[in-house]
Parts: sequence; structure tokens; C-alpha cells
Amino acid sequence: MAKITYKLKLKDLIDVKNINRDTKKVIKDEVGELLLDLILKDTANQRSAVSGQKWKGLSKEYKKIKSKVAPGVANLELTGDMLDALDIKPYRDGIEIGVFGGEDALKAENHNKFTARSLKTSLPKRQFIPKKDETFRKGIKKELVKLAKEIVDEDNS
Amino acid sequence: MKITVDKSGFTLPQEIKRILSTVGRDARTKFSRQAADQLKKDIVSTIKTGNSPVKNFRRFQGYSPSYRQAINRGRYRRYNKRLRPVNLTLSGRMLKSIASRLTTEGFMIYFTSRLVKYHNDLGAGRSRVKRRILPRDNEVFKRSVMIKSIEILTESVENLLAKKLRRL
Repeated sequence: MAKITYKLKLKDLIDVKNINRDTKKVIKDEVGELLLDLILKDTANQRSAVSGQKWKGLSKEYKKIKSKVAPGVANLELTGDMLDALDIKPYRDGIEIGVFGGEDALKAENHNKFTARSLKTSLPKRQFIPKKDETFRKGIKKELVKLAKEIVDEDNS
Repeated sequence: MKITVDKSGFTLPQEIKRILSTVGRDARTKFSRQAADQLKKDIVSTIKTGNSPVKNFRRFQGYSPSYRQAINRGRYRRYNKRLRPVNLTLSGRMLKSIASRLTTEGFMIYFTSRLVKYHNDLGAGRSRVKRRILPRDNEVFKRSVMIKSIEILTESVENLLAKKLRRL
């Protein structure tokens, strides 16, 4: 299964013209970790890190099955493998976040509804990775911008 | 009952320390209390979702096969223990033992439960799995855990400064 990821460019957070390579690396690392935590936080709170909206609850039948091993809520955690596989990788212009292949990428695809195939599945959409033309919810973006600015300010001082 | 305080669990986030150092003693005490209460809540809620509150530590490692088997067999049914999330909660007493104490610089966060030592430093169970819930040495809390406490502190400091400016 192909990866289900989103590329966040540094230039979408901060003016990168006068930032040196080392600082960019720090920003990528720090912003990446924060982004991962905020996505996991939203997921645990049963809300989308993309739209910010609460997810629809579980169906009665699935809730019954899920309750045996985990809380019967829509937090995308049954075995925990998919969320464990959520990762970040820096690339030249920014960071790439998502599930980078394997069976967990298929699960992520079905929840995020990225492809025509996944749209055909009966799973309701519970998006936690934005599509190419989307981005993260305002609150998340604000925190990422704030952190990037702080790192640059600290570097300049 | 004697409460043993694990002193090595004390931590003071640098970001919070920096903000607190800008205000006077009375305000520092008041703000520290508010920030400590918020931080305690956020640490516990992070742990309950199966994530470490410590920077560079991600989600907690899954339970060992023998513990999973015990859960599946209903050994911990009275605690309503499930396989997921890995939330370090059985009776809930350990997480409830989170406490804070004011210091000259700000405040300390710690757990009074002895179990913390096993999860955080020594390793729990036969597999000796460590699940970091308090920072050690040069480690710090995750920024996502401190966002609200820093917001509270920044707001309090700004309000205080605005009040002082109005008086001038």
C-alpha cells in the first residue's frame, strides 16, 4: 500500500528567506514533533485535525465489538497499530507527516478517504491527515507558526 | 499513611521558569499555582490517551503478551482494564497521586505513588518496559502538554503589566 502523507512546507509557516540551514533543521524537527502530538491529541478527543469538527460516533454494532478491547468511542484506536505508525520525516522544503506504507497505510487511507477505492468502503470519514489542497485546522496551524517564530527569534537573539 | 515523595520526579519546565522570572514574588506564587494545576491536568490527560508527556518520547509501548492475556481473561475486569489505550491506569491511584509544590523559581510537579519509579525509570513487569511520564536529566515536557499552562501564564503576566501601566 502506498503511503498516506501530507507535506507541510516551512514557507507556509514562516518567511524562510533569511533562515540558515541549521535553524531550518531545528524548526522541522520541533514543528514535526508538535504536529504529531497535536494530531494524536485531536484523535484522542475524537475530532479531526483537519476540519476541527467532532467525528460521528461509532455504530451500535461496532461499538459493542470495540468495547471489548478499547473504549467504545471514535478515537481510531483498536489495536493502536495505525496511530503507532503515524510518523514524520523531514524533506528539503519542510516535513512530511502520515503513515508511510504497509497495512497501516491502508487503514489510514480508508479513514481519511483519499482515494476512489477508499470512498467505496463503508467506513465513515474520520480524517486526520489533510489532502494536498487542504491544511490543518486553524488552532494547530497557529501553534506551529508560533513555535517556528520562537525558534527563529531565539536564533537571532 | 506516610507519603513518600519521589524527589527525582521533580521537574520545572524551562519555558515556564522563564515567564515566571519576569514577575514579582506574590504574582509568581499566584501564577505558579494556576499553571501547576493546568499542567497537572494536561500531563494526566496526555498519559490517559496513551502518549508520553515527555519530549522525544512518543506513544507508550503496547502491553506485553502475558499482560494482554491476563486482561483478555478478565483478570482486571473490576478495573474495566482494556488492551488500548496503554494509559497506565488500573485502579487510577498512580495518576491521581500527581502533585505540585511551589518553589522559589516557580513550581515542581511530581507523583507521590511509588509505582511511578517503575514505569518511568526501572521498567515495569518482567519485560522491564519503561514508559516515560516525567522528564529526567535534560529532558523536558512536550510543548503540546505545556501549551495551556504557558497560555495561562502569559495572559496573567500581560494582565499584570497592563494593570501596572494603567496605574502610571
